[in-house]
Amino acid sequence: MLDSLADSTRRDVLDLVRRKPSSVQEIADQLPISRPAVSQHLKILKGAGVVTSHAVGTRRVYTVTTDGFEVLRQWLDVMWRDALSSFAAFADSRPNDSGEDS
Amino acid sequence: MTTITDVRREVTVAGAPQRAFDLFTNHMAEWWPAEHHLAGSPVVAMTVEPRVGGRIYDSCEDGGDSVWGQVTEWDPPASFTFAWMITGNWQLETDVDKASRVSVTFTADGDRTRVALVHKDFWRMPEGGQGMADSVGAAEGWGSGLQCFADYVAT
Repeated sequence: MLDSLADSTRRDVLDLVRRKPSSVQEIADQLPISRPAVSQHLKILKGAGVVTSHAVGTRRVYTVTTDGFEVLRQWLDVMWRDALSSFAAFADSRPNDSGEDS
Repeated sequence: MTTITDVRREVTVAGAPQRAFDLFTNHMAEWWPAEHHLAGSPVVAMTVEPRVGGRIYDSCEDGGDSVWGQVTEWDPPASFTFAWMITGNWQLETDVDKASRVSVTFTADGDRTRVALVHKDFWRMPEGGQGMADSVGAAEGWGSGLQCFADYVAT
């Protein structure tokens, strides 16, 4: 999900949603980007599971789904996944000396 | 109070636990994904000092060392545990009591070895949750290493 946070404007969008559940228009009013641009950022954040949305009357309001700890946890989860996967590939590519110490 | 669940990952590799333990701790720089280094300078070596209290550190191309762990349990070839000396703001944590823990166990599974890693004890981190929240929210919040990581995941 972290690639969804790599863009600084997207982090600004997320920051506004974290402070207060907001519509696309409310976010666009506070940032120097267009409504379609805000929608695009929200779509990516939503796809990553960082924000969710629900209808309020005719508006669609976005809220955050994760807190800071969860972001940290997900980052570590990806890091250890990659690290162990890399370790397994390394260990399996080396000659297996059947326990003889080199 | 915010709680954070343990991160658990495991793989199985060829050979006995002794072999896996040795490759994991003595050859770390050869398998650690380059994209996941937190150091600012290219890493040329990674060292796990084989004892309780031992440091885990990257040796950088610029000559500096970057410590990111401290061994808290050392029981080769079955397991070892270290303090993850990184704060919620991606800075070096100097107080081992405030660092989360990473435990790695090596268990024989036929002629292979199951390597199970648990990153736990996040309750130790004093301001972890708020620190991370601020870090994500601030425009310049992500450290360079994390930004590299984010770019890597994005590709």
